[in-house]
This record gives sequence, C-alpha cells and structure tokens, in this order.
Amino acid sequence: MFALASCSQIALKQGEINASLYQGDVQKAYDVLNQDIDRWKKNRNALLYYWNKGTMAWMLGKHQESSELFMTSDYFLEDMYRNYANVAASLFTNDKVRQYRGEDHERLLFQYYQILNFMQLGNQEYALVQARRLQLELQRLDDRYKGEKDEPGARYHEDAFAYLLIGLVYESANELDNAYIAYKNAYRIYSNLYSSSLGTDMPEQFKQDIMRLAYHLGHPDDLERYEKELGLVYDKTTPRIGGNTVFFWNNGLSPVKEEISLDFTIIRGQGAGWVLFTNNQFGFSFPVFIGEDHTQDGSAFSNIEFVRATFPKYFTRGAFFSHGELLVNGQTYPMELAEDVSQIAHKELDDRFLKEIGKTLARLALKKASEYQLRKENPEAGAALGLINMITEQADTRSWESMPHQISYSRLNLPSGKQSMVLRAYGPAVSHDQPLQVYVPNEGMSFAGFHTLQPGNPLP
Amino acid sequence: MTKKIYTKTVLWNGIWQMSRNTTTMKKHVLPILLFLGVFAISSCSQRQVTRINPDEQTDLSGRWNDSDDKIVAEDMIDQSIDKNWRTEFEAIKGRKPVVIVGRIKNSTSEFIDPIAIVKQIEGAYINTGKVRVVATADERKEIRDEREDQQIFANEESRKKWGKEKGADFMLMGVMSSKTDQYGKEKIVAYQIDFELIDIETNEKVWMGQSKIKKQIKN
Repeated sequence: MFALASCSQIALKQGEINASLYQGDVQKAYDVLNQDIDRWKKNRNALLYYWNKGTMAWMLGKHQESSELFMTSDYFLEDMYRNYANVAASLFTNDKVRQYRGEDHERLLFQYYQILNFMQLGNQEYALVQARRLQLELQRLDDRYKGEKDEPGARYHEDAFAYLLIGLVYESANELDNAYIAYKNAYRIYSNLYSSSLGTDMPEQFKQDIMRLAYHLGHPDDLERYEKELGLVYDKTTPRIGGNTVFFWNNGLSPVKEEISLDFTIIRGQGAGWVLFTNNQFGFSFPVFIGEDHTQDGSAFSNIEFVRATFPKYFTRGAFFSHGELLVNGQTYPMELAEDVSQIAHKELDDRFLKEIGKTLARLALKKASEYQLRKENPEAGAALGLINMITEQADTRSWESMPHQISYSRLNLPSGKQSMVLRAYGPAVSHDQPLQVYVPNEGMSFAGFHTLQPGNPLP
Repeated sequence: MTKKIYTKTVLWNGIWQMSRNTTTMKKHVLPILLFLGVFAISSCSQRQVTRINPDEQTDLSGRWNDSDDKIVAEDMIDQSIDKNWRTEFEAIKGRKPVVIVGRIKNSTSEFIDPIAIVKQIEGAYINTGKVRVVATADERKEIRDEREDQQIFANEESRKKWGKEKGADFMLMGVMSSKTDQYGKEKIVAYQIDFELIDIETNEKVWMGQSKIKKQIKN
C-alpha cells in the first residue's frame, strides 16, 4: 500500500512535468523536479529522476549539471544489483515496486545526451570515454539476446544511431580507423534491422561519410561494395576530413506507457499442476504451473474461470513537425532521420509482449491460488486478500518520458567561431523558425542540438 | 463514497479475521508479511561511517580508484628510477635530472581523473630523492601570476626574481587504456598504462615502461 501510494505521487509529478513540457515550458518542468530532490533520489524511480532532469538541464543549456546527472545515472546503472526483496515483493504485487532499470533503448540513449554534453562543454576526452562506454552497453545488449536475433523480424538488439554517434565522436578526435569500424556496424544495422523492422532508412549524409572513410583509409573493396549496394558513385575529390559541425534535432516526445487489460479464461485438465490461460480475442494460450494441490478435483483453484490481467502498452505522442532543415549563411541543409525512438520503443515492448504476458499470468495464478485457498478457510479473510490482489494488480507504466519521438541530424562545414543558424521545422501547413548559435572550434568538431517539444497526437 | 467505505470495511474485517486464525496466519499471511518485512528493512537501512587507514586498499564498485593510482605510480617509479637514463645523465651532467610529469591520456572506458595519478607520480619521484620535479604547465601559470604580484606588492628583499625557473630535462607522458570482457553479471577489466620518458632537448625517448592492473568484478 505504501509502495503504491509513493508510486501515485511520482505519477502525479510526472503529469505536472508533462503538462509543462507540452506547453514548451522546460524551466517549469525542471523546477518540478527540483522539489523534494531527496525523495526522488531515494525511491525506485531514481533512474528516471536523473534522466528526466538531465534531459531538461540539457534543454536549458545547463550542460555541466546535465552531465553530472547523466554520469550519476551511468554509475547507478553500473552498480545496480538485483534487490531480491524487490523481486519477491513484485511477485505478490506488481513490477512497479521494483527498482526501475530502464528499457534497452533508454540505457543507450542517455549516453547520446551525455556525449552531446561533453562535446558542448569542449571535453573531448570524456566524450570519447562515453563513446567507449556506449560500445560496452551495445555489447551487453547484443549478448542479452544472443540466439534470438537471427530469427526473421529480429528483435531490437543493436542500434545503428548509437554506432553512428560513436563514429562521429571518433572522427572528432581524428581517430578515423575507430570511426570507420563504428560506421561499418551502423551500415550493417541500417541496412537490415532499421530498414526492415523500424522503417528508418540510412541517412544520405551517413552514406557519404562511410564511403569517404573507406576511400581515404584504403578499403577499395569496401567502397566498391557500398557504391554497388547504395547505387551511388563516390566523388573521389571529397576532402579526407568531413563536415566540422554536427547538429542534432530532437523532435516531439517519446511514447508513454499506458495500462491495458486482457481477460483470460482459465481451463483446467492440462495435467497435474497445470492450468491454461486463454484469450480468444487475440488467440493467446498460456499454460501456467500452479502446483498439484491446486488442480485436484474440489481444490480452490478449480473455482476460477475468468481473470483480468494488466499489461503496459505504448501510446505514441509523436511530433507536430514532420521534417526540418538548417539554414546557414544562405544555404539549406536537410535534417535527416537517424533514430526513430518511438518505433524502437514499440518494437521493444512488442518483442517481449509474450514474455510480459507469461510473467503476469504466473503472478496472477499465484495470487488467485492463495486467495481462493484462504477464502475456503475464512471467507472474509479471502475477500480481503482478493481486494489487496485486485488493488495491487497494475502494469508497470514507467518510462523516460522527456525523450524525443525522433532524432534527426545534419553535418555541415562552417568557419570557426560563433556561427548563427536557423532550424526551420515544418508542420501541417505551417513552419517554425528557431534561431540558434553554435561555437565551432579551430580544430576538431562541434556538436549541437535542439529539441522541439510539440507532440503530434491528442494527448492521453 | 459508499463503495470506499465498503472496501475499507471488507479489508479491515478480513485482516482482523486473519489475525484470529492461527492456521491462516501461518499458511498465507506470514509469508506475505515476511516478504513485506524484508522489503521494509531493505529500504530503511541506516548509514554508517567509519574512518579507515588511507593506505588500505579498498574496492567497492570495482572502478578505478585511489588505490590504483598509488599502485601504478609506485610500479612506474620502481621500473624507471634506477635505469640508464638517470645514471648516465648524472655521470655526464654531475647533477640530478629534472623531470616534469606531463599529460596522462585517458583512453579507457572510465572517467578517470589524470590529475590524481600525476600527483601520485610526482610524490613518488620526489620521495626517491634521486630526481627533481618541477611544476606542471597549469601550476606554473599560477606561480607566475603570484611572482608578478610580488613585483608590485612584496618588499624588495623577499621579492622573487624572474628568469630563475628550473627547466626540466625530461618529460614523463602516459596513455591509459582498458579492455573489458563482460558476460552476464561478471566483468573483467584489464588496464594498461604505457609510460614514456622523453628528453625535452632532443625528443629522444629514453625510457618506456608499462604498468598493468586486472580486475574481476562480480555483481
């Protein structure tokens, strides 16, 4: 009960934060997170606090504070051990009582913000450290789903944008061999998983960058393959060093998780100790082991026929603006989609939906069995446990809600010093001009970014 | 409103009934209370602070820490101090060599503060009594500001003169790298720090050494 009460408080604050973000008032959303800091840090949503506040600090240009928050989250994730008391409690209640560990794509993309922070602070050494840490997280992700990824419609187990970003950081430090290795990974993932399952095509800028490095680093076979596969001819007069400014456009807001419920019929007679949960609407059928005591004739469990289970499902908030471009010194540079965060989030949850159902039904079976056993011995106590079970049966709808819907980027060459530009974003029959300034160093590269918050869909 | 009151009544009645029935308590309520108890205890632990010996090797997270700085600095000095570069220099010049500790580049996947290692190395060099150590570039800037200040505000006899700085003969530079092998809850991190001592006048690399640390971290 206590756990649920504290969860609802957090949900309330998230509502306030979202309301401020929809109005474009980042400062207000940031101020909400600045209230009761100790309480945010201590509870099981601490990771979300670091990520949300880190994102807002980045939007407000507080790069030092943002980098400290993301670094804390980085160590927090690294040190996170399985809390067995948490896991045990979640078996009896719901996943919300567990420490939030982040979705796979969230654990990668907080590092995108961190790399931007370090580059914007001019700390290239730390940007490189973060790029290496991102590589380690990508390896962990790949290891986690070993064996599952070769199936048709492979699940999200690798991230093209993360490799593209790593490559850009290496390029900024003139470590071109390392950059090329990262680009090769990004090329493979854009060509397969991203184009087939996520609807994201390889950015044109990236095609030019990988061909440029293949040519200048002496990989003619690779270059020939890229030209053939992409249907392009590489211009060999292109300078060895690419554009010195990379601009990232975070557009819209990431999807939010909502609770959905499904009704299941429980069928006995599936062998000693087993019952079958079925849902005709979606054609689901799950055998669940509940123990032999509960499937004998006259046992308490035999009384159950229907049960309602709850699951998390993403609701897409999307973006008001559909596309954009950068206007600099009278020239126009298109913003190209590199990462569709919403598509990835949906795919990730869809990929593990069956696992979520299995986990939820196992928990429901355990709760129901104890409830009916108790009801047989003491009807009032059984009713009470039934109520507790009903109240505690909730889907875990936590997610990092201040992330963008999509990330696009553009790479250009600018003179060193302070440069002015305009981000022009196009919505339905309307466009918006956002004036911006970037600082371009004499050597190395400059990374900059902007987030247009306006969501596209009516809000839930 | 009526529904709320009914819910509360059923809940408290049930809990009261459960508490009266010992069999029910043992079979159904105790395990739940036990779990909730463990849960409550786990979230109410109190912080304890104990002072420990600064020389004691401590490892909590498994990340690079002050113990590693110290191990590397001492290992580097042990390897380099009695080698030809110093003995030959002393034989030719008739004095101790002057060393400046330059940049230690961090090419690991950890946020390591190179200043801490630089300080450990400087301290270890000075403690051998066999080399002299001069201030780093950042420190020199601060000292020059102070000297400039003295020219205006300090009395003549205590005022320090310009052009008396001791120039370094050698510069120590280093690169830290790491390789991480991980699977599931286990991780092995192998750190390697490559050091080079360079003659500032000739750019000749007079000594090269390597220090290694390997850690196994289980979650």
